[in-house]
Amino acid sequence: MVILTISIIALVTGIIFGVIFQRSQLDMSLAFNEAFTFKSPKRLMGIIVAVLTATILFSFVIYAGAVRNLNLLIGIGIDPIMVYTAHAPSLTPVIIFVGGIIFGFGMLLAGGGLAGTLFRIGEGYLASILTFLGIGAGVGLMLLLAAIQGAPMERLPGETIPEMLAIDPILIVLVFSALYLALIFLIKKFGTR
Amino acid sequence: MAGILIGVVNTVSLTIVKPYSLSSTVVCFFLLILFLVYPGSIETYPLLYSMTHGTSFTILLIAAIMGVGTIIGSFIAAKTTGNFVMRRPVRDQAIRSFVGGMLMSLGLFLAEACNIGNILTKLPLLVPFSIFATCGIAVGAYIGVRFMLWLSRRRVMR
Repeated sequence: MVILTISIIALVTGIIFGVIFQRSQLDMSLAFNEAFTFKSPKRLMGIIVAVLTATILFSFVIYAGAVRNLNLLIGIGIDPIMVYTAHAPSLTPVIIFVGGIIFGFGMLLAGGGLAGTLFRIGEGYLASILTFLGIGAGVGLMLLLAAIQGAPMERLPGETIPEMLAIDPILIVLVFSALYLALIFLIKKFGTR
Repeated sequence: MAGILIGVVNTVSLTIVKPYSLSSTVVCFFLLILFLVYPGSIETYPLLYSMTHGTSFTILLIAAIMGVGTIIGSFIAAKTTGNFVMRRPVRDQAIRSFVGGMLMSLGLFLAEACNIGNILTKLPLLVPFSIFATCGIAVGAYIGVRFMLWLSRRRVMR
């Protein structure tokens, strides 16, 4: 029953995001393309605003105890935050950075990030279905190789920045918020025609 | 405005279920195909078994449902505003889309999440690794833009 409720909420969340992404056309590939090619960073600033908003609100709901008291996954013994802080044992910042470069390049080549691919499928773009199949083929190949080599699904618990530095999270949120606002200001000042 | 809305909806999602992420949509799609084509593989390989049972599968399934919901939501929004049109790609675009997708899958594997997972979810959660992933995505996007410009100039010169 709880799993069914969680599934319905997940579906509704996805639908809401699909509507927002389609109506706003807020796709990261397009955002970077416009910012770097045409010096039109409006979409990119929209993404930074999304990150800024989430940074402030995430910390608020986590440290105010709302997640602990209301989250349905915690109710069935799954910590939704640990899912994102956990990582593979062999992961290093260099590997992640290189992975990000490859992903960013592929995103521009394909003409859309993962959200962009999915919402464009909903708009009728058949090219996005090919992108999705390409991602599926690549993921499938790597998972199969890892499975055949007998790789275990080992995940090490990770920490957030406040936990790592043993600093009050409000301070870290303030620093990051200031950085994002500074980035928006700099982009507006120097990144536009 | 859309940025604020995304941040707010993502926060509500984190509070009730989990933050918005999409990489698992592809993983679930692959596991479904694998199960249909080679059902024995799930029991044969411990990695695939652990991904299709217990906590891992619950998380994968929820994210996959969010991905399916994204397609449905976009379809509803496009249809109601008259923006739904089946657009068939030309040959070059089709190849770029597929190859781009495969590169994204490699990046996803190494960076442990897609652009949404790293930038819209892990970064607001203040996960340290997401900073490196975000910088990498920005650098890769810049290289991608330069490459696409070079490609279009080459096409014009022909």
